[in-house]
Amino acid sequence: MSLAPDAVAGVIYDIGYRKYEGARLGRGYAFRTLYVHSLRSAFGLGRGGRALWIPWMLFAFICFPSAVSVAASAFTGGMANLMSYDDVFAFVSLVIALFSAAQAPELVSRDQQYRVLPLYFSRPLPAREYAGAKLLAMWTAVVILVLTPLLILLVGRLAMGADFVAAVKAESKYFLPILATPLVAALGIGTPALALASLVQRRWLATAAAFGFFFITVPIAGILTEILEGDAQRYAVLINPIFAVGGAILALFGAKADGVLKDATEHPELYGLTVAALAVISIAILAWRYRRMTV
Amino acid sequence: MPLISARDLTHTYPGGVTALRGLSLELEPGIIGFVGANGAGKSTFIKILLGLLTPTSGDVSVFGLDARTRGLEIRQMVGYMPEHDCLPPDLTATEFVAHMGRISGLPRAAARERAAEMLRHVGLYEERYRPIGGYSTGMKQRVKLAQSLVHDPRLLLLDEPTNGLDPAGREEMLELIRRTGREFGIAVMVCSHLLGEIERVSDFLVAIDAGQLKSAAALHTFTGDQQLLAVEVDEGIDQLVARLTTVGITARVDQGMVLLPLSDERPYDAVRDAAADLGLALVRMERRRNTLQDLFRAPTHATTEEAHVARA
Repeated sequence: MSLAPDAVAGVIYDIGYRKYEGARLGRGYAFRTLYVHSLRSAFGLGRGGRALWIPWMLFAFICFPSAVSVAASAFTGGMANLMSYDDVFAFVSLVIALFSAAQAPELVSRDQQYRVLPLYFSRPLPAREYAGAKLLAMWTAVVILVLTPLLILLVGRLAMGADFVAAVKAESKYFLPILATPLVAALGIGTPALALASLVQRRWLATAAAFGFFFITVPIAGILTEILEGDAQRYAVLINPIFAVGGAILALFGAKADGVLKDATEHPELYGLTVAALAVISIAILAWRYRRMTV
Repeated sequence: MPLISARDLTHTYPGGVTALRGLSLELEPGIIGFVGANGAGKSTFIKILLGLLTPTSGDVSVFGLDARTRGLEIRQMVGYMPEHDCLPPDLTATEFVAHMGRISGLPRAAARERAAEMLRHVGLYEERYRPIGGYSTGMKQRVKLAQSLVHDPRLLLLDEPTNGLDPAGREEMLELIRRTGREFGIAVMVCSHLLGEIERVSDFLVAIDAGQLKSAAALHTFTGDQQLLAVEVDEGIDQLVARLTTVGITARVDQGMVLLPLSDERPYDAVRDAAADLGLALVRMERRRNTLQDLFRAPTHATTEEAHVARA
């Protein structure tokens, strides 16, 4: 094809269209790209300054109790007792739920609100892999949130022990529960938050829905445990996902608790199963939602 | 091997709405104009081509790949620009287009480089480092085009690309489409309900209506023998037509004008002679190209004749 005269004489900085001859990576790469992109947006990264406020403020709240505990213990030369690992979740669970309710819509609702999904689905990324990458990112975010205060505590304990090797030995029995706790929280809180958010296009509405699910069930569970008796009372507390996750985590550490979760160490399977059921139902909702999305 | 091939393509949505009814066509690379009113089945056809919707019945292939089973491979080589808004407001154009390039399989560095190149191609310069939320409609349309080009596709599917643009913006978008098709060597299918726009950039036109093929042909076949001579006379239209028929010219009447096919100079003389002999007052004579609107409005001879009869 001959060039038009103005194309020759005109704009010299126009280098013309260049074909792309380089590598084209497959679906796994697209999945990883979306996963990293989503995990970053869970923490407000790459979205300008304003998006950073909420996630990092909440993250600071989550680290605060264990950091204070370690600091206090260090200052007093070990006079102040460090909080125990199983206490950590009780301190931060509400903030974790808040974070999930606030940030899950960042992962899924905004793509619906701004109708970005057709751009993903018209690329070599099937809808179920889109949903999978989002779920994995949500889980990772919750794991980071729950693991960090536990690690602060662990590091504090190891640093303050007179003999490092002995300290490692003393703490080693907690290693497995420390690793399992974030996973339980991710399954029981991250998954339902994401499933709820995927159903709602407006971000603030999605946040409100997840928030409602996590917090309105708290007084309901409290009231039910008061008025019910016997087995029914035992099950009532499981209505709230935060209690269910909290109980399962107490059971992981083999800790005793009073109040609504006093049952957790006696019937750990009940709490474990509830968390598993929450996760399974939420994943089913996600699968259903994104199967319909393709069309 | 045709670029796009469909045979007896029918799609009925679960709700019972039939969007495509036995659509059959074969399209070669070039700029393809795909015209139809809203709801004619254009978007359904695009989704089927992308392998996102499985047709109820019929065969469909893109690049020779069955769209029902090999959608993933097809989507690797296709760029799609939706009709509606599809851009997140809080990302910059560079970040967003690069991200979409990576989802299409481009390594990070290549995606960044091509995103910058494509945004320059569509005419976004310094603005591309600002969040998309602050862009004008015209700039957003450009970003949408850039994201469909970033992975160097072999086929572009553009759904109503001039939607919401002012006249100048429409001109620029059409020019971009023309360049993409002609200079970049990428096949383009432009869907639009605006025939007037599409006919200016397309090599090939397809018209669908209510999910059925209405007409499909290369644009030069429309323009080739569609030169017309339009003659306006004060009165005696029927006499003029009858007279021209006797000298072997088939004329027809449209909106008070006598239209004759203009393949050589002969009709000019014939009209002059006929007007002189019949003593008609010749108001004006002009060369005219049959607009595509006319062709699509009356695609068959039957309807032309019906119109004829109705007027007579």
